[in-house]
Amino acid sequence: MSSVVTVGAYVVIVLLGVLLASYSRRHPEHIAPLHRLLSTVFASRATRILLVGFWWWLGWHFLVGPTLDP
Amino acid sequence: MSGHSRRPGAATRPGRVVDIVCLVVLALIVVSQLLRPSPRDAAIFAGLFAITLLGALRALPLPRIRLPESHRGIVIAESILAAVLIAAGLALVIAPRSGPVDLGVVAALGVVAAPLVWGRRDDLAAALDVVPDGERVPLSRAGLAWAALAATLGLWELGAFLLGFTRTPDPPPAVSDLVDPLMNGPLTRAAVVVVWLLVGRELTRLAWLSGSRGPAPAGRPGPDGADSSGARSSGGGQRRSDRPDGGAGEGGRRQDDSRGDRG
Repeated sequence: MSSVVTVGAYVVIVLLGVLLASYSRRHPEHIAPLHRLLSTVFASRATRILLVGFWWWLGWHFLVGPTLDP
Repeated sequence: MSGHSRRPGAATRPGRVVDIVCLVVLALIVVSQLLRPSPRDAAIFAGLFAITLLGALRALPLPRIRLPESHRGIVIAESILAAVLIAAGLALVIAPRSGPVDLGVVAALGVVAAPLVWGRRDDLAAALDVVPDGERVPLSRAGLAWAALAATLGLWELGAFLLGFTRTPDPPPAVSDLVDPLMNGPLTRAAVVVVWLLVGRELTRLAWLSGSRGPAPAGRPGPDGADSSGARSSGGGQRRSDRPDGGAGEGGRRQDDSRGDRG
């Protein structure tokens, strides 16, 4: 049961992300699109390192390192 | 152009706040990786923490790397990047998982991305200065919304992880538990690799452009239809931020050269 709830929450979060991205593209006057947000906050080096570093780690995590215990 | 003037002493404040937030997030990830326990992943994020800290303190003795800034230079660089990504994608899909090829390709992509991410600008205050008044609220809303979503995902994952300690017979799955099986099938693995590479390509491109040029003024979409922050955008108003000094003139250029690493 707890697994269903946990997975359901992940699905809801992903759907909310898709919804947010879609809405912001259609109504940039209400919420700035993600692309615009990133192009602004990436003026900060710390933000660039955090987000691109996290992206790189995801590749490392799933492609290089054994993600799960055998 | 918003017309906002920057008060003395206030210029570095947004950058400092963001530096601290990023450091706190990285520190939390290090702690969570240690709790898993995954010392290797903890070491990766500890390295990112150290680099971020040294960058924030202006204590990293790295030379400023000059990247292509002309339209032609960017087109050539992006073409090379696209070719590299296609080759990397093929290698990652074809080679056995977690083998030396995967290790080499992912490590090489990190090495390629590093100078693009480091850039030569660290000036969030200047980037916020060129945001038009009418776009400040939508931008704030977007920042809050995405930050809330990311925080929710992180907290939920952390909660599932902590529950795993107490409910060993049926521990709630982490994101890794759900994604990992996809990496064993060739088609799903190829899909994950393509998505990962495309996201990385876009993130790196934005980091490169924002880190070398600063953000584009709003409402000036580039040829790709998006609000581009680089030379691919067109329009007279674009010229200002297309220049490394953000259009502040020669005085601004000198200022950028000497203080381009402001927070």
